[in-house]
Amino acid sequence: MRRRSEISNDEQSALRERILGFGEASFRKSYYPELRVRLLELERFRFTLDQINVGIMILDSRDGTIVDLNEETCTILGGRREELIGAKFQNSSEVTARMYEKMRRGEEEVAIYEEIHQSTGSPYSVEITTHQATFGGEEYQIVIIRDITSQRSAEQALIRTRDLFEAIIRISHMQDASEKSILSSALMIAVSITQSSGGMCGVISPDKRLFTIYYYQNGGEVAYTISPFGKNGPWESIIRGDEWIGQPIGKRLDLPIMEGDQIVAIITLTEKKGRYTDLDIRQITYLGNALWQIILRHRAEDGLLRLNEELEGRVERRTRELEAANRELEAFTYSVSHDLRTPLRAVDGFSLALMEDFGETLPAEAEQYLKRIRLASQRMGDLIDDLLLLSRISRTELSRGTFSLSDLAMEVVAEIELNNPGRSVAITIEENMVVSADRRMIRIVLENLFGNAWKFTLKKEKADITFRSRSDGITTTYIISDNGAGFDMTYARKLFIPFSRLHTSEEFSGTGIGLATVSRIIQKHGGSIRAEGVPGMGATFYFTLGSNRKYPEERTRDDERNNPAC
Amino acid sequence: MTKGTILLVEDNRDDELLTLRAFSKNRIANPIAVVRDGEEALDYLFARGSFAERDTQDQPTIILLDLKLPKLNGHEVLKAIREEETTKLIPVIILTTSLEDEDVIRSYELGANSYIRKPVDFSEFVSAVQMLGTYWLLLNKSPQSR
Repeated sequence: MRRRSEISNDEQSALRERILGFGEASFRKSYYPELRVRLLELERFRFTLDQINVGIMILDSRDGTIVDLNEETCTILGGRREELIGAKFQNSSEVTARMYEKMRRGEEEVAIYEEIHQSTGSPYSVEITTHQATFGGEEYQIVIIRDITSQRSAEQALIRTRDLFEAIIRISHMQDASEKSILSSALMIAVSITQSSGGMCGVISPDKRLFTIYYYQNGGEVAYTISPFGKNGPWESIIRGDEWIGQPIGKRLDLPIMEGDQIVAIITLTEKKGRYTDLDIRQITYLGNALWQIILRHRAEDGLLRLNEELEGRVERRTRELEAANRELEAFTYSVSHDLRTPLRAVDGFSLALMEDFGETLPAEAEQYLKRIRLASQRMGDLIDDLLLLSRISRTELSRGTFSLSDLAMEVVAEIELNNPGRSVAITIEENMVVSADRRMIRIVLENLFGNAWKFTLKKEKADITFRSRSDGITTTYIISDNGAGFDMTYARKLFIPFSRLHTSEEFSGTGIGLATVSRIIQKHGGSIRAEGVPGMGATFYFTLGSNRKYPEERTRDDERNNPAC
Repeated sequence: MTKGTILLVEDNRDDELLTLRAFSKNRIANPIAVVRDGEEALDYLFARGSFAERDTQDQPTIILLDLKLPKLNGHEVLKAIREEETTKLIPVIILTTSLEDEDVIRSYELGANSYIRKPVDFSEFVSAVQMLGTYWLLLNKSPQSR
């Protein structure tokens, strides 16, 4: 076990002298027990050195000759002790050559040395430390070799996992990215973290008709081809699941991306420096699944986007159609307003001209007929006006403002009285009724309701009209009642339908559009209207104007038209 | 009463006849020029086309303008009148059947002086023309007489 090189020359000669010069007896007597102890010590030391998992080498400082080494060094270097002793350290590799140069300059160094194991094909790493030592008056280098392969691979796995997660997050945050750029990025990452020299990624289109293959060679650009699915030869057969996949085949790794039990894409990596490892399989599988989720999300977003665009397009089309219809309607009402009335004016005007210019020569009967013609044409004029008003109200936006309903009612009543003198009607209007509504429109409501009450009390000796309000705390109801002709409740719902009348025009004049207009205005305000009546006893109209709250964009509108001339 | 010309822009023969009748009923004896559409109205005022011989210094005292006209409509005619130096001060009275808000607002925006709706009832029209005559022909001095 003991080796010449382990102890100095002086020691050796001293020992030799003792053993040879003093004979067996004296040796046993004086030196032998001590020697024996020393030898045992050395043996124990040697055994310990061979047991530890750190390689230890002793080099001759003068020329780098390996003078001794332990068992672990043989394992690491992959040689037998007999072969290694006497070899030159610096001849082993570039790293040892460099280290040797430093040793010669008297520097100590720690170096990492990585290589692929010849027999297993997997990489291994060692850490080599050198220390200078002098014993027996001679210079030696103690070289410590530590196998750090598992430590290094754990570190690398951590770094790779970090890189992978960062990459997945980066890909998932790619805004407005195309499927191509997502897959390209993923492929580049797969190649980079597995240290492959290249890779491919094949993806089936959602409708299973096209097959896109992305190609990437480390350091190059991602290229791609699109072809009909089903014409891609053996590689595609991997996707169809005909071939054995999921395990490294030599220098290639094929990994499927699954959606349920369907293969939807495949990642292939090639020409890694060593063999593909379990970590490669785990990480690329993870990447593939994450990637697919991102792609699915993008496809869903694209679908949603397309749907939105389609919907927007449809809305736009409908709006255009509606606008066209509206324009037509407006042109129609405009035309009605002008063209329908013009001939009526001629009928009325020339009838009057006849009466004025030839009245004396006309028989009384003819004059009666002419009067009837004039009344009829004027009535038609009123009908046209009422219809136009109804259609205008339907088209007009509300312009709400706060105003006194009581004041407006008094204004309307004063106007009616002015236009129909000679009647005595007792009108009672509650004070301080304030509303938030479209004043112009509410004026039309009051004109109609008061006008009706006035009209239908015509035959009463003592006509009574009251206007008051009633609140239940949430909604205010406005009530106009009269003691006039009233109506049969059976026909109450017909009151608000255009052109339906409950009285003949001989009894009471009217076009039958007024209450329809009133109802339309109330509806526009979000309110409601109803009527109660008893024939011969009178009628009562109840209406609400929706919520009483004030509107933020409230503005009052000046509805008086300025006419400087007339 | 100044005997300035009244320019009536009216395409409907019935309306023309009735308007003239309303004038005579109100003893408005001013000379009346009648044109049938917007283009003719501008030809008259700017002495163009068949009115090329007309003296542009002799402009009407008032213009009665219908809104609904063939070729150029009343609003377009009004705009052209207000943009032209020789005609921009002539009182323009819109005489029309329409009482649509937009028509009224647009007319005033373009500088109409008055807006008279032609009612179906001819008697009403006669009294409207009477007020018109009193105001524009009698009380209100036209730019030329100033």
